[in-house]
Amino acid sequence: MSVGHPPTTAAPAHHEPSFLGKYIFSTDHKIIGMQFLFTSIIFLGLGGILALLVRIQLAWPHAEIPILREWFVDNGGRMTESFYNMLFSMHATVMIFFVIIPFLTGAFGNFTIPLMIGAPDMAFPKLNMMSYWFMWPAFVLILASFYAEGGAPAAGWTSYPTLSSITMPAGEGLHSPAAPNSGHGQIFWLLSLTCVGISSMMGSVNYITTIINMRAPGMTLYRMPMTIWAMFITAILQAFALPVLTVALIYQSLDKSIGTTFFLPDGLTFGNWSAGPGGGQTLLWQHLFWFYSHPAVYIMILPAMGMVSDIISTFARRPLFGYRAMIYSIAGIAGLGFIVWGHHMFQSGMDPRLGTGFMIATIMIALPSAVKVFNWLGTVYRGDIQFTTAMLFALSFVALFIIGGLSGIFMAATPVDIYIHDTYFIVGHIHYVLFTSSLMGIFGAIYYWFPKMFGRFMNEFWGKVHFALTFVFANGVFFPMHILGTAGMRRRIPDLTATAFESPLLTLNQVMTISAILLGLTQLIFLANFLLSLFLGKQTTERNPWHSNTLEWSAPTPPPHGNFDVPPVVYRGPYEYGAVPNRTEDYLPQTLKFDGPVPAASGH
Amino acid sequence: MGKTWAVFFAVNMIAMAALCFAAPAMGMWMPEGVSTHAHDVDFLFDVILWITAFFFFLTEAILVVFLWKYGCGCKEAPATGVPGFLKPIAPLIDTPHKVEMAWTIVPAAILLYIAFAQIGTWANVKYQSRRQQFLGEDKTPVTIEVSARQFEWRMRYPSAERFREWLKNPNDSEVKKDIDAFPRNPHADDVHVVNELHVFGEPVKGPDMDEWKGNPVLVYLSTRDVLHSFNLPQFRVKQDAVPGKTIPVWFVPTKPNTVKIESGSSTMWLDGRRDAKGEPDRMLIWDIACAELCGWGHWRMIGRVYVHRTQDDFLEWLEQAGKSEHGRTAMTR
Amino acid sequence: MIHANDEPAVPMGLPLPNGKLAMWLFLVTEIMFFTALIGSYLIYRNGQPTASQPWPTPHDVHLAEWIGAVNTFVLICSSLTVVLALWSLHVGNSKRAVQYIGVTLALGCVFLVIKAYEYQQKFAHGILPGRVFEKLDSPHGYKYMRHVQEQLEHIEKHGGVNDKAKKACAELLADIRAGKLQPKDVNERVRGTKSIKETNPGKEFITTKDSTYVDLPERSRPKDAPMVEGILEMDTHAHLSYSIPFGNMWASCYFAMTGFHALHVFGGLVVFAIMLVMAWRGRFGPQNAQMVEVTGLYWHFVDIVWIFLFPLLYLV
Ligand code: HEA
Ligand code: HEA
Ligand code: CUA
Ligand SMILES: [Cu+2]
Repeated sequence: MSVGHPPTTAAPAHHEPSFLGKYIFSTDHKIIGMQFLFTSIIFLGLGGILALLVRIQLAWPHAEIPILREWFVDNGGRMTESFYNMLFSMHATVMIFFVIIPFLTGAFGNFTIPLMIGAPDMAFPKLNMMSYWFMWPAFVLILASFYAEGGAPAAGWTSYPTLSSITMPAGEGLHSPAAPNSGHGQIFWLLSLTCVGISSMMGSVNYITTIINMRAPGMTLYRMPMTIWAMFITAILQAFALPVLTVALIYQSLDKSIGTTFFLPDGLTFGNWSAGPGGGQTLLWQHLFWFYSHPAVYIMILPAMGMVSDIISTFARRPLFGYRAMIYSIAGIAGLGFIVWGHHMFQSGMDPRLGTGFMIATIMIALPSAVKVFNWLGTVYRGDIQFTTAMLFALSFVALFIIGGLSGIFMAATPVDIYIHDTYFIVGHIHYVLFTSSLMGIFGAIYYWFPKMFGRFMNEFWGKVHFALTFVFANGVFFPMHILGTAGMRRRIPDLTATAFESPLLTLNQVMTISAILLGLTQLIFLANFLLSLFLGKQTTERNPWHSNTLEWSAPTPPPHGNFDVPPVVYRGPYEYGAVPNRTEDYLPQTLKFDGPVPAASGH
Repeated sequence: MGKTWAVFFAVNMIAMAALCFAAPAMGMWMPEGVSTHAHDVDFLFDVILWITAFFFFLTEAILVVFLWKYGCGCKEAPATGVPGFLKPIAPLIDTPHKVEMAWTIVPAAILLYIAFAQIGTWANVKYQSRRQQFLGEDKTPVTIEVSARQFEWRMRYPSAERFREWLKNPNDSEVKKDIDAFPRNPHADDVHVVNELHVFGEPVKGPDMDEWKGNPVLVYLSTRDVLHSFNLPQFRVKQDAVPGKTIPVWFVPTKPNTVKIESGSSTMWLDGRRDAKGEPDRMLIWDIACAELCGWGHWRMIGRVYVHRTQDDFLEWLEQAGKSEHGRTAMTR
Repeated sequence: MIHANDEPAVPMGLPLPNGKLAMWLFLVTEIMFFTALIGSYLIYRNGQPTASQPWPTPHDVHLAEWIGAVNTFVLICSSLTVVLALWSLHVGNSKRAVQYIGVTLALGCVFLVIKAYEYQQKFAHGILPGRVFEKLDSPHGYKYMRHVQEQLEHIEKHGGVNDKAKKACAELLADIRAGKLQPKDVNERVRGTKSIKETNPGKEFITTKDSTYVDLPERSRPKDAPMVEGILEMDTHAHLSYSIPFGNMWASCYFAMTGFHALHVFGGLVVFAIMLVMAWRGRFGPQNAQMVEVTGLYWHFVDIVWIFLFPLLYLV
């Protein structure tokens, strides 16, 4: 039989760039991926800390906060309501725009695409570098907004006008009569997201070009791993949806700075101050925002789905069940994703007849999602499951995405949404799809590709501890949110003791907060494992430690500049695992030219 | 190892399902619905709950069983060069289309059912074209303009006389016009109240004299500053108030919660009571809890709904409110 | 089923160079960008304005159709010259190509200069977001009156209008100073009742209370009040502000749409300038055909966007 992988040594000799050139101003997609990876982890810490502050206020409303007391001396050591609003607004902004999206498309998109399609690098390495460096103005602006006059934005991550955009007449500063936090901080937020947008746009054009044009010989479209398919379709989603958000962001910035009134209707009054002539439309912001942000939620899940498919197939030692169906369902989700944005606006005053249309489209999205779920289950069927940490996270992705997805059906149903809109039911949904799905998928991917990235393994034992605790505590924080929502608890409130129907929910909130703190501490295990493994982890002795089929495992570890020592040629689909006569291994790498009967049902 | 993890997943899932079942008993579930369409909404909620519960148990059970059965734990991670634990290719995979068709078509049918089941209820409570029909052609709705602002609800009622006129000729086209034009035509004698939504019904002479029928309510919702959301959880009503727009909202209550109490010279109307003697009941306190982030005071932008037992109670209240200063009624908390 | 013996096909991908593919993709994002701009413009335009409070006509906001038309012509020509440049490169005539690129650059500059002139007109008339006077009741009306007073004082000092208008200006100024007038009277005398009627068809009387955009003279005027000839009817060049319903929204949309378009034009010009610099350094030849082609794609796109903007803003 032929040899699957050439020996590990003999990376082509090339000159060593300086540290700065190699790690900071690198055009190498792997280094850029790692840059995204590290910044995302740091922002995960920041977003998590904000979340914990949110939880503390919710469990012990308006209690004195031990460590933060100095910040709130004016308020008797208690958190102000504006501060609370700022917390969850920034929590969501950071988590979505600086953690999940950069993790998925930035870190893993960059790392996997060229490696998995057998290309030496992205189509435009310099553009790729720029797309990372465009994140820096965004980082700086979003962090600066905390120090802006009036503080960071506090109008939710959705930043609905008029709360976010109403400003005082010229000459009276940018302080908003509506919300003191909607001044400079909000402008920083808008500019920051614009920079994220430009960065993502460069990335997506680059990814699409690379995937279309840079595939190794033999890597036909239907031989691409699911990760690549997912990244491809995600990039298309971004290319279509982001410009619309950019326009909305620009319009809101203009409203706030030079006195346009795109989102300000006529005749607003605040106390005894009345706004100037308007003529704009508040709801238009919501349409533009959700036209992007709904596809964006799929941007935040599809790459994770792709990576999870690869991980599950690898560790179940089974071909991915229904490979083509998986691709079509991703495409279906993406396509439908463009015509359902209105489901965030059922109660917004939009024409209710549109609501009906959006509802039907939204509910139908469950169909391709169902196909995916069943195919993952089908992949595990009769497998030989290896419970690596990566596999556990991937399995938990499947298990918990089901919960997050099913709760989506409640909200998609317009009459039911009347009751649960803007309650914790939504918050529960958000976290099931974003934390326990996307983030779990990301964790899985980190454990899976870590050996290829850094040439060392992460510690499996602590990985499993991390997994088990995260799983338990995440469910402990987020599952009760559905119950709270069903009981009517509104989201975005710092204190639930104001109403008769919310007050009895305090105890449950306290349990959740404790769970959240433990969840936060659990992530320290991850952080320690990650950092220590970088330097002390067990070294990889072979290129393909997981016995996986895809191309990145045939490259040296860690892959050098240019990725492959021998330009790969692809002979088969990515999921040919299982028993093969005349072969002592249960996998057939894509580069393997193997004469003989091949498992049926591979790659089609 | 496989069995351990299967159990781990199973235990977690069962714990969550158990929490769901236990929650209603612990008083953490939807409060009793007190409007005519609340029943429909709750029914749809339950339908979806059962369907999703079924799929939840189905998929999670399959996952757990597969982990139990196929996670044989033969090896933690593959060792170099060792052949895998070889399995023949499953017959399933050779004929994928049958299963795949099944698991596409069955959910598709269910999903379509879910989607179409919603439309009627949604139309009843939101489509302008259904309003008259839903509220009853020959009924005069309590017509109220609710104007939201940071952070309170301002209600404007027609004066008691005007409202009596309306009640007398519900089918008169002039009256209908007047009601339609209510938000655009403030009158000098309108009654202004803050944070209190007063509506009413009438006891119907049922066998036990306890049956009660609500009078329809028509709210013209607007805001003068930022977005707010008019949220009556017990009534299953929620509608954002949008700057620059006036949005009609309607519902019909099915249960009173307010009694008239005369103590000495003053009359009070207290909510949260079944009768004048009884203790207040938390389940009968119906908040109007703003449900759209509107600034730092969002959480405490709260009003109350008072459903008077009789039309007379309501009219008496309206008269008194019209007389009191600053639009505050005697019983503002 | 994939047979093991399937020989991998030769290079994968589309028969397109990366640069060109990427440019097409970039244009897709650009299409979405301008779709959002144009789409929201259509929504503003068709949303709130009514027959009695229409969207401003080009004339209301000092927009001259013929200037726009000239600019359209200029851009179309420049698209043509890019194509010619590319063609010259293909036939190997680099020198001619450079000339065509120079012409394109020049035409683009002409476009921007004309645009700048138009902007300058808007600035001069105060047609800027947040600066246009719409409502004349409420405190904004008094702001308007004060503003016109300043403008009149300027005219009094520096002239710049014909004699008839000058006289009317002096009268108006005197009346304002004497405190005789309401803001809407001032508006009427600046613009003239006839013009107001013309641009506000169906504006005989207003019944509803919620129409507060502009307090038109008809409402409070006695039916038989004499028509007033406006100063602007006497001299169209007088710099005097008047109330324009939806004027702010119009200005916001106009500047956003044409501004972003102009930025795109500018971006293209930078690339053409780079090409000229390359040529000047002698590093421009047939090997740059792809660069010219890709830039040309972009340039055509910018052109097409203008072809949408022009009728939307100037004609309908
Ligand atoms: C990764 C992110 C992500 C993903 C994947 C989804 C997926 C879905 N979302 Fe979610 N959503 C968000 C992130 C996401 N969402 C966020 C962040 C918000 C809040 C924004 C804010 O307001 O702040 C939100 C809000 C939101 C709303 C608005 C609620 C409101 O504000 O009132 C709605 C309403 O329809 C909705 C619906 C759905 C649906 C139907 C899906 C579907 O795609 C789910 C499909 C999956 C399944 C259904 C499970 C698998 C299927 C089966 C097991 C088969 C069997 C099932 C049946 C037959 C039912 N989402
Ligand atoms: C990907 C998205 C994401 C993630 C991961 C999370 C994670 C968490 N979220 Fe968040 N959340 C959102 C997205 C997300 N959230 C969104 C979109 C909203 C809506 C906001 C809005 O209404 O506008 C929201 C809102 C929201 C609310 C509702 C606020 C309100 O409506 O009033 C709450 C309340 O409990 C909450 C809690 C949490 C908790 C406890 C976590 C925990 O899982 C966090 C646990 C993680 C940590 C604690 C980090 C630990 C790491 C370290 C400690 C390492 C430190 C490292 C360094 C410093 C380098 N979130
Ligand atoms: Cu008003 Cu929230
Ligand atoms: Cu959505």
